[in-house]
Amino acid sequence: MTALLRSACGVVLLALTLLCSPWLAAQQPLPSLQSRVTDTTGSLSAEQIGDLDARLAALEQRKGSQLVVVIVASTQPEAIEEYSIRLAQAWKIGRGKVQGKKVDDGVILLVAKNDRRVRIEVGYGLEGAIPDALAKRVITEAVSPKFRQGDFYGGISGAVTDLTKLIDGEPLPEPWHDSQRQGSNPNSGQGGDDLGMFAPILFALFAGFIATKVLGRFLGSAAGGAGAGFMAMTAGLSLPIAAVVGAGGFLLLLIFAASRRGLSPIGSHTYRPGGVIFPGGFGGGGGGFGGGGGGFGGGGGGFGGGGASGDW
Amino acid sequence: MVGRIFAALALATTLALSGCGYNDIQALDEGTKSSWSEVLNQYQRRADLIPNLVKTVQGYANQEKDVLIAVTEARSRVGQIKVDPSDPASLKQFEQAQRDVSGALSRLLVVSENYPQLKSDASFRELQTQLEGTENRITVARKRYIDSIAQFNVAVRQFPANLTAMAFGYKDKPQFAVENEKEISKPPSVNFDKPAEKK
Repeated sequence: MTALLRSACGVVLLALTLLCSPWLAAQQPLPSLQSRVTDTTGSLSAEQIGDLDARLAALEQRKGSQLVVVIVASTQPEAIEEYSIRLAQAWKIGRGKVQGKKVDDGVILLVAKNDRRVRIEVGYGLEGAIPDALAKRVITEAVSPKFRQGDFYGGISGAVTDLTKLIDGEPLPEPWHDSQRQGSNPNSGQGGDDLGMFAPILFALFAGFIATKVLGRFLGSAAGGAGAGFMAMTAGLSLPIAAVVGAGGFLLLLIFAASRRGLSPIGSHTYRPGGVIFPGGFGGGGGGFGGGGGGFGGGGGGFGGGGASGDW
Repeated sequence: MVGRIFAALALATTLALSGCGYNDIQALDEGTKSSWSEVLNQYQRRADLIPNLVKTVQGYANQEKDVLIAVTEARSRVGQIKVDPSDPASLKQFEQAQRDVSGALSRLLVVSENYPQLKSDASFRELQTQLEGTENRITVARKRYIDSIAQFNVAVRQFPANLTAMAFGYKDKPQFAVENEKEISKPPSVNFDKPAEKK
């Protein structure tokens, strides 16, 4: 019941949030993140994109930092700064957390071709390596002169070289290994808590198991299931998934209590199938995190508006 | 039997309470606090840039006393304000003071356009870039604060969390004024005609 009420709350909240954002209509849509170099204007040739992509991939291999290049036609009516931070928040370039420490080592080089504006958006973690003044210098010295001659590849290439040098000078945590990688879904930046949330859920189930003895089969199972669902929710799972966990826990406890009453075998023996079934039920919900496999994605890096803008 | 029902009721109440947004309210409240400290942090960063900026401009344009004094005074007024973000009047006063700083700073930058030597001074250009970056960070921090307040306010006003909020004494929080937000989030326009007219 609680879970139902909660999900109703959630739906209303979502609807309100959507209703309260009328300005969304007036913004340029963000390109989808597919690779390290996104060119919606066709200013770069396929070889040039391949070359830049290889250099950016090498940087990520070596340092772990993500640097991406984006060329769009225009950011109007927004200023390039507004568009850029929106893009940064959506793409979450750079690593979010490595071993519990915030890294936020992403950089976005954004070019608005028709507006003749360019911006280097720097993640929190690199504001020391690339302070605004240096970002500005990269723009005025490497980017603008080339762009003025119509050489987009030259300007971007120069900026990538300069930024790579600056990032190389910064001590950063080891690059991610594939096993640490939380898939390409940007929301999985805070991953790694996944294991930790099993503990409270299992604890709730255990408490529910005791409750079945105190309160009786049905009430105890209901309480345990609700507890498990609630624990799943506090662990950060979305409402429907938490509801599934809760319902699963309820059924599990009910079945278990029934089997105990009927067969009265040794507790630990019957409990085991429960322990196996439960993660299975959760796994179905876990699929909701999506992500994984193929393509390129941000790692959950945070941005706070650092960097510099310029024109040509 | 009565004991059982009591126990079940107690458990149900606990779960209902947490299900009705108590934890959400806690998390959102903490979110507003951390985004507020980021706002303060970035305004402080801007205030810290001002003495150097004033000193640099003085070196080339000491005759622009009015503008320089205005910036320094606006900065010191901001420094004296003890702002309480949960009090609308205090928040408004803070807003006004910060807007004064923004205004004084943009006048300073306009005036500095008249001094080619100043404009080509390396440290002035660096300070200008830092100022631009800080203004942008302020915009971002303000936007995030506004969003976090909006989330919090929606949470404490909605049923059933509003009951929980009432029980624990959480009220909705004052928001930054939105009309000014538009004005401030615009990059300061550099008007080349103005100082020429003044001369």
